[in-house]
Amino acid sequence: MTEVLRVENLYKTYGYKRGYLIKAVDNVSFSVNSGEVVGFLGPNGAGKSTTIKMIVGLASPESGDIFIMGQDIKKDREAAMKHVGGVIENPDLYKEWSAYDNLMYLKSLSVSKEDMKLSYKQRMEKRKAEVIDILKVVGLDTRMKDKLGHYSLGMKQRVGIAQAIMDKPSLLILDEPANGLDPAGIKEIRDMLRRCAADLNMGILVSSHQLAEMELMCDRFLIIDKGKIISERNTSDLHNGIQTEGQKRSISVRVDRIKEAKAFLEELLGIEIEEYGDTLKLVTEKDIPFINKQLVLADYSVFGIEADRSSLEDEYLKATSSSKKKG
Amino acid sequence: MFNNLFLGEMKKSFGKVFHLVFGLIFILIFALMTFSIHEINVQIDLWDDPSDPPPTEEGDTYTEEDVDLMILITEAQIETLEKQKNLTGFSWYQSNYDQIYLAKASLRYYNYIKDNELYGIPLDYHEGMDFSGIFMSGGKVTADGYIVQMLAIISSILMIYGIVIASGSFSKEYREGTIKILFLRPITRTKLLISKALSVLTLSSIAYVIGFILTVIFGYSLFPTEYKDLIFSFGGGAFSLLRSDFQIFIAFFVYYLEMMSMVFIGFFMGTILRNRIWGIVIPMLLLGIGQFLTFTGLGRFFITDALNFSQYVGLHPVVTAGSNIFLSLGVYLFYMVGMAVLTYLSVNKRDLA
Repeated sequence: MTEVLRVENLYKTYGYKRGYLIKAVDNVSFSVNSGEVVGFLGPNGAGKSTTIKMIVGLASPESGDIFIMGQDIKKDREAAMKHVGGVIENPDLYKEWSAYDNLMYLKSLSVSKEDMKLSYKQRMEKRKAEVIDILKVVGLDTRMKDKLGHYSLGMKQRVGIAQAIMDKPSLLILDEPANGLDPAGIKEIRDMLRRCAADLNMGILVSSHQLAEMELMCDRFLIIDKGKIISERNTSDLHNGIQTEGQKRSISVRVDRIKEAKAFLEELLGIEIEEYGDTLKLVTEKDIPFINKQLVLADYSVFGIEADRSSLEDEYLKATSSSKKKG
Repeated sequence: MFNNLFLGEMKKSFGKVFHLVFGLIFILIFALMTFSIHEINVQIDLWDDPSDPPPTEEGDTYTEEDVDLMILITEAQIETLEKQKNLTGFSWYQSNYDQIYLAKASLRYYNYIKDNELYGIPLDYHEGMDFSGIFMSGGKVTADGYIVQMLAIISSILMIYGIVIASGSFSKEYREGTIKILFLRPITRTKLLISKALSVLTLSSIAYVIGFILTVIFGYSLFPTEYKDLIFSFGGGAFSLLRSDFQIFIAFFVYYLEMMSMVFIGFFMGTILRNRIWGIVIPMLLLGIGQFLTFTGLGRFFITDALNFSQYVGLHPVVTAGSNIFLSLGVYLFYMVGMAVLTYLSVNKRDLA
């Protein structure tokens, strides 16, 4: 696993507004590894787009460094960009051209040194084959000669992704890739991205508002608000309820003699417990094995104990609301 | 890779509807102008009034005494004008007609005749980019006269064509968001800028050369060819006696340079302001601003006066007061290089909105 993207102390302001300095991105640092899908979340105006634009060089940071495959983009943008594919904001391509013409043109702008050794004819044949292959991957090979202006948003989105993954980049950056897609389209994109990460070992940074979708797609999340990264979690941790030291979590316990068990646990943990039918709901920092052991030792029949799955949505709302309080 | 970038830019510029419409307009104007110039010759053929013959242009004939006298008169004239200039002060510059420049050019002209002993032969001179010196005896328009006149019209039409393409070259990519995809490709922005500039240059040049070839074909097939010796002046100083069709070459290059300068102002402005409309409007506005600045006495320091190269290739030039070819070249380079640098910075350094 190699680090495909490292962002260090990125900082950018948007000037003063009513005497206050507007920090678009405030000291943001993170990294993306190969084979990993990282979700980049945050409310509108949180600094997501600005950060992404700085990574791909569409905006310049006031301070901080960006390394793509270890290459500083400030020093050699051209070399760094060889490793990057992306769709920023909208999949904007030349709408008077067909998908095929678009990809042929964009492909012609990244000719490798090995390709230069081929004859012109061989090079064109190779380029054509590669473009048709990638159009097959995104399922547009049957309509590749149609003008882009006649495509639906979903199809444009797929052409956008096709051009982004066309050169098998080490780092793929997608801004709202699921926008305008129907549920089947979203699933296709999700599967495609997972395949890119798993088979081609790409590191992928995706920004989106569709939290449920992101939860299925990403291995890790960064939540950004007011220009700062306020939370960084692994999806698996979120699902297993693994939390950082001293943090409380919600647990459901199904047990016999429910009233007695409630009193027993309230005394043991020193907290108030709610009762829902045959289930007790408690919020504690103690882990599941400990509670299980205590109940068994006290001779209760335990039918089940599970951590309430914290969804990404909970995490997102919790993080952004606490940042609001601080702000 | 650079050639791919260039070919892509050429392909992008080639909008079918735009070229069709523009081509039709061009053919229409071309045909109308050719017809109306040709009509002059048709009318002269129909001339049947022997008591009032058509105008002829035989040129002037000088004797040695004439020339010596003219030199004395012109020298005195220059002296008077210099005094006048000192008395008038700054308002002397508020004119697009430099009398001193003109008198000095005349002085050099008479000295040229004297030095080369061109006495007793009819002399005609190239008088800037107009019909002068293009009528052969009998008052008909000659082929080179037609070509020079048509090049002036063609270069103005093709200037608009070039400006439309040039101003949209970058601004269209910014407006439609395609610039993001290009900036994500492993190409430097400078290469992109150069390839766009080159494609604008190539397309405008091809259009101009096609226009030129058409005029040459129509010129030599519809108009009589008759040459005489003309005196040419460059920058008000360098004189030479050349065959009259030499003016075709002058017109070709001067109009090309003037057209291309305006096209590139459109390219720079459209790119810096990221707006096609401004890229088209600003070059046109500059002409008006140039006129206004001449009234304030500062016209000679402005780009539109500086790129008006045709004012320096006639024997009777209409030069903005206080201007000369070296000042104009300096001012021209200052503005063009300045705009090029701003364009480079805008493409390379400015954030995308």
